[in-house]
Formats: sequence, C-alpha cells, structure tokens
Amino acid sequence: MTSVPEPSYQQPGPVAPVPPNPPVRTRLTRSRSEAWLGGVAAGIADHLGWPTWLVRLCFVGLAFANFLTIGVYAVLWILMPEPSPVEQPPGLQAATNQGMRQSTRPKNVSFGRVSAVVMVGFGLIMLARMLGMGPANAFFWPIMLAALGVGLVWLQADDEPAVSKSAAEVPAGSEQTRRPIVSVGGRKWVEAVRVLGGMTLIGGAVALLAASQGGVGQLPLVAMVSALTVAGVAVVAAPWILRYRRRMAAAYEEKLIADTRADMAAHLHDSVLQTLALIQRQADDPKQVATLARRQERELRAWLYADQAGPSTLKAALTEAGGEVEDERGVPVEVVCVGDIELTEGLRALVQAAREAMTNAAKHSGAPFIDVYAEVEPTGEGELVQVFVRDRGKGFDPADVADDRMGVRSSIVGRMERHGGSAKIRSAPGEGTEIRLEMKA
Amino acid sequence: MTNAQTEPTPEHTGPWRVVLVDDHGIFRAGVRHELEQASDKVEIVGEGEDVATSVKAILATVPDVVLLDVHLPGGGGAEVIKKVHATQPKVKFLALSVSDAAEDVIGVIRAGARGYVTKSISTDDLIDSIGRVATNDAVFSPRLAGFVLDAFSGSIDVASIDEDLDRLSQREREVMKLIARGYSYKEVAKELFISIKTVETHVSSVLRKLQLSNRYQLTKWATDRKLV
Repeated sequence: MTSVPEPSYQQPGPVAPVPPNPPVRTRLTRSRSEAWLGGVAAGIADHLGWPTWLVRLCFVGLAFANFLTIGVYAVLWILMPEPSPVEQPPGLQAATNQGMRQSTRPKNVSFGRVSAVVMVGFGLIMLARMLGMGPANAFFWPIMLAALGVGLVWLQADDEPAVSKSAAEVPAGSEQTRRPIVSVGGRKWVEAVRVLGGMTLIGGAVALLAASQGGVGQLPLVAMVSALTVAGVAVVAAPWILRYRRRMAAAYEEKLIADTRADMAAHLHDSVLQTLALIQRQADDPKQVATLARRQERELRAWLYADQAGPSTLKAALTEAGGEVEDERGVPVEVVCVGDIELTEGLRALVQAAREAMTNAAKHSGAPFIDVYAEVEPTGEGELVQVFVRDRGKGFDPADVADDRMGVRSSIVGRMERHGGSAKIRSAPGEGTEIRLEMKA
Repeated sequence: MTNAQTEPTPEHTGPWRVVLVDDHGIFRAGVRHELEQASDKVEIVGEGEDVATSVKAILATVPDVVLLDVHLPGGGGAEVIKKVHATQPKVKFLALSVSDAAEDVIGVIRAGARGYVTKSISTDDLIDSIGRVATNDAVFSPRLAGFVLDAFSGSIDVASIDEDLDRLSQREREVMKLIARGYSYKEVAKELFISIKTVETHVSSVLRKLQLSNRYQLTKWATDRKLV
C-alpha cells in the first residue's frame, strides 16, 4: 500500500508559505475521529494526503459501478488497524482523569454512522431495483438485508470498548476516553437498538431465503421460526457475553492500574527519593539545596508534562543545553521555542554555540536568570533558525572583548561562521547582553 | 519572571483584593505568606480549592484579581472563569501554574484570563503582575508569548478566514517575539521606538485575538502537536 504515487503538498497561490513541518506520511490506519462508516476512507485519505471527500467520492462512485467495491471496503475495514492511541505525559493523564482540565469532546458520530449505513444500503437497493436486477434474483433481497444487519452489528463491535469501561479508568488520550462520558445511558440504548436492528435484518434475510425456496405461502411461518431462533440465541448467549465482557474489562483495568503504579514507583524512586536524600544530607548549604530542588523540579516537570519531541530536535537539544548550564552554574535558564526542526550538523554547532553563550552569561553577567528564545521560520528556500540568548546582567563593551574572552570569539562567532551561520553580539555596560545566532537549514 | 514593570496606578487606592485558587493547600499557604509581606499592595480576601468552592468564594467577595491554577478539580481553571464571568464579567483572572502544557495554558487564556505566569515567579514580579491585570493590562511571560506565536504561526497561510481576527499584525508579531526573547514591556518599547502604552495596546490586542480567534485554527494547532 506504500507504492501509491507521491501526492502533491503544494498549495495553490503565490503566497502559500512552506508549512512549518512538512507533512509526514502517516501509517495507514482507520480514522476514528472523521469516520462516517468504519473510517476507511478517512484513513486512506489521511495516509495519501488527499482530501477525505475525494476518497469517499471514489468509494461511492466505484460502489455504483461495481458491488465488489463494497466487499473491498469491508475487507479494508477488517484489515486496517485502529490508530494507536495518542500517548500523553503522565501528569496530563492524571489531570485529565481527575477532571482537572477541560477535555475537548469530538462530536458523537454514532447517529451519523448508523444513518450512513442505512442510507447507503437503501440507495443501493433502489439502484439495483432500477437496473432490474433486484427482485428478479432470489438471493438479492436476503443478501442485502443480511449485509445491512452485519454492518450494524459490526459498527457495534467497533465501538465496544467505549461502552464497557467508564472513562475514568482508562488512560487519558486513548480512543475510549475521547468519547462522551455523560451520555453512557443514551449510548446503551443506541447500542441495544443497533444490535436488535442488525439481528432483525439478519433474521429477515434468513426468512426470505428460506421462503424463496419453500414458496411464498410459507413466509410468515419461516419468518417466525427464524425470529424465534435469533431471539433464542440472543437470550441464551446474553448473560455469557455480558460476563465475558465484564471480566475482560476488569482484567484490562487491573493491568492498566498495575502498570501505571509500577511506572510511577520506579520513576519516583529514581528521581525524587534520591534528590530528597541528597537534600537532607546537604541541608546546611542553601544554595546547593536550591540547585538540587530546581533540577529535580525540571526533571519531574519534563517527565510529567513534556511534549514528546524526539531527542534529535532543536527544541529538545536547546532545553537540554539550558538544563546543563543551569545545573553547572546555578542560574535559571528559561528556554522558549517556537517551531521545531530536526538537528543537522550545522544546527548541532548552533546548539553548541548557544550553550557557550548561556555559559558565558551565567559565568560573567551576574544576571539572576537567562532567557533563551529559538525560532524556526519557514522562508522561501528552507528554514531560518534564530536563537537569542539574553541576560540582564552587567554587560560589556564588545569593542574591547579582550583575548581573555576567547569563548565569544572562537566558540561562538567562529563556530557559527564555520558552519555557514552568523553570530551577532549586542551589549553595553549596564544593559545586559544579547547574542543572536542565525543559520539557514 | 514576567516582563511586568513597576508602574504607578494612580486611580486605585488601597491594596488589590485577591482570591487565591489552587488545589494544593501548601501552595496557597506559601503564596499567602509571600503576599502578606506586601499587604499594602495586595490583600487576600478568599481562597478556593476546586471549581465549586472557588466560584463561591469569588462571587461572595467580588475581588479585583483571581490568581487561578490551570489544573483544578471539577473542570480546570477555564471552568471557573466561565462560571464567574457569567455573572461578574469584571473580575480579572491571572493564571498561575506549573503546567507547561501549551494547550491548557492557551485554553485558560481563551476562556478569559488576562495573563499567565509560572509558579516560580518572584514575589515582586507576582505583585506587579497582579497590579497589571487589575488595571486591565495583559501579562505575557516569555513562555506564553512563545505559545502564542506557535499557535498563530499555523494560521498564516489561511487568507480566507477573517484576517483581522486570525492573524497577528507584523507589529504584534514583533512585540510577541521580543517578549519571548525576555524583553520587558519597557525594553520592547525602546527597541521598537514606540511608547510603553503602545506596547500594552499591542499585547492587549493579541490577547483579544487569541480569545476571539477562529476555533478551528487553534484546534488544528493543538491536534498537530498531539495535544488533543
């Protein structure tokens, strides 16, 4: 499925800027959020980078041309995996679970999906009828009915996790919690109607088939027999299915809770407990205690709330460099990034230069904190990366940067120029220092 | 670590009346202790620990400023703002949080908070920020400015949407960038050769755009960052 021609990401119009992050081709998964039916079309559209309506149109058009398309859709529905849930950092998960943040609820699609199934089915029947191939074929109506019924029941199976667990016990951000919590009662009802409808349709299909073999006169009897059979199966199987589902749900929850607890315990042991022990031993050195506390806070916060930027991006590298300087020099470094980009060799040098600038500021300026701001800006050709390192310390006159300030000359300016970038230093006695690093990537 | 500058607020007499909202008792006690040392400027008139108690305390005291935690039992800080503003639209909110999740910070701002500072802020800066918010100014920390630039940068290619609301003007972007670089309002004014008042106007208008801006764009931004 990966041999599909490369779609064009170019946008029409002369002013269209390059998107900050060029779209990455996603894995082929069914889309839950935009699904009308099973999310197959939306998933394919997402994968190819096409508009969803186009893929849908293709499907509908092909379905009219050849009924096989419906089979293809069904097969894709089964084969395409569900999207893997978006992981959230533990702190946000916890906050979501305890109702401490607002969660955005996607619209409830179940009604739309059911009606889509019904409408498509109805339309197909009508079309087939108009083409004169409908009622003539004895198998046509039973197959249509059965397909509709199976479709309804499948929709059900697709939704199952949402109903069998209450949201609070499921990891936040997984598909399940993104469904509305309040309408559980209403959803149960919808679920029942769906299953009932599906089974009725299948029963009807069986009855029709039987009747077509045994003659129309037998129809009421056959219909009743198959209805009774379906109902009987449902009644007998219901308690068993229910219990099975409950047990599955309970086991899943238990495993989830145990996993979370183990993770949490391991992390707390590795980080917070160690730091607390260190703090107790160094209780008479306030500066050391403050440094330890700050490092621990930064580490814990990163673990709880961090974006999942890969370790190889500019943002991650700058944050790491800032943390190192903070630890070494005991001066807080505040890193703010707008946009992000994968590190290249040049950008690694830029991060090194920025780190040197932070170290200088921490060592010489006497400022209480250092601000670092990085921006990745799309331009006509490639991205322009700018990093500003600023302190409000005592500053200096750049004209008399003597030989003892080798750091500035070679580590910052020289390094940037060697890699095709530039560094500008702005400083005056009493006004702090700002070093601006710039590079095209 | 805000960029708030001390500036006299002549028309106001007496300390600002403040309600403190946070679900951690220890933190409330700490902030109360800090602010009581400046009792001529700030007076704490109430506290809240979740959405319900906070709304009750705020409506009972009608303070000038509410210091609001972003994460709060019962629906988060945004919920408090919505409920209070339904009856008392004049109460100002300043978000105070350790949470660095961009989505939550932007969410509270969009709900109506006039600024965001982190809990590691110094006492003096916090008092300055309270005064700023009380006089209807916006308090943008470098971090918030970064979030805002990030949020709006995704929407610059959309010409079809209402331009006035969904884009930052060139000047507003410049101001935001300088604030993100750690400049105070005064330093921004000097850098751009404009008055502090003009800087404040730009910042307030960014805040307004953020609060009115097309929901779709910001949601898309959050989705792209896997925040929703």
